Amino acid sequence: MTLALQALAITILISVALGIYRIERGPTGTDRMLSAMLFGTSGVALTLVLSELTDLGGLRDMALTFALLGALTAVAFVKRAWGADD
Amino acid sequence: MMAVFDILLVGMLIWIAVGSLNENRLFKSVVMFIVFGLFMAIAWIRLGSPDVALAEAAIGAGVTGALMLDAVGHLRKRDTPYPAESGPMENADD
Repeated sequence: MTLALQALAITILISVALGIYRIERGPTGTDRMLSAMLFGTSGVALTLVLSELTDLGGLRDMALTFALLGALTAVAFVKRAWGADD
Repeated sequence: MMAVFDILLVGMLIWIAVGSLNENRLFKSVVMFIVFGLFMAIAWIRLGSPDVALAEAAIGAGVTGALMLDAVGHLRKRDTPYPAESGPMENADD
């Protein structure tokens, strides 16, 4: 079970690495911002997996913070910075 | 197995940090900075300090990211690109 969780954490990290390539390449700012939103979701998943691996139950609060602030960043992007860097 | 995770995490942190600093498009730098905050929070978890990770996620990734996106939007409204040649009081009303 521990091995499966560790493999899952590494898999999520590799998927995020593919998303960083999208930030490097992405032609418009919206592509880059959507990739950052994906990282917020992946951060929630990664935090929950690490919470199971390390027996730190308080990490679930941090997953909640990730979810909340991902939405906040998305709102800030749509309201203020849409169309920048196109 | 977790050593592989740690090496991947450190490598990606360095990649994101270099990509955030070595870039002259401002919006891309801001997005890279937000992602750097997220990854630094996960690195703090791996270092065994979840409270620092919580503060990093809230301040580094969330609030600073929103403020910087706001600043990019304001700079976008100016006629001249950054750094502005004109005076600082030109668009001071918004």
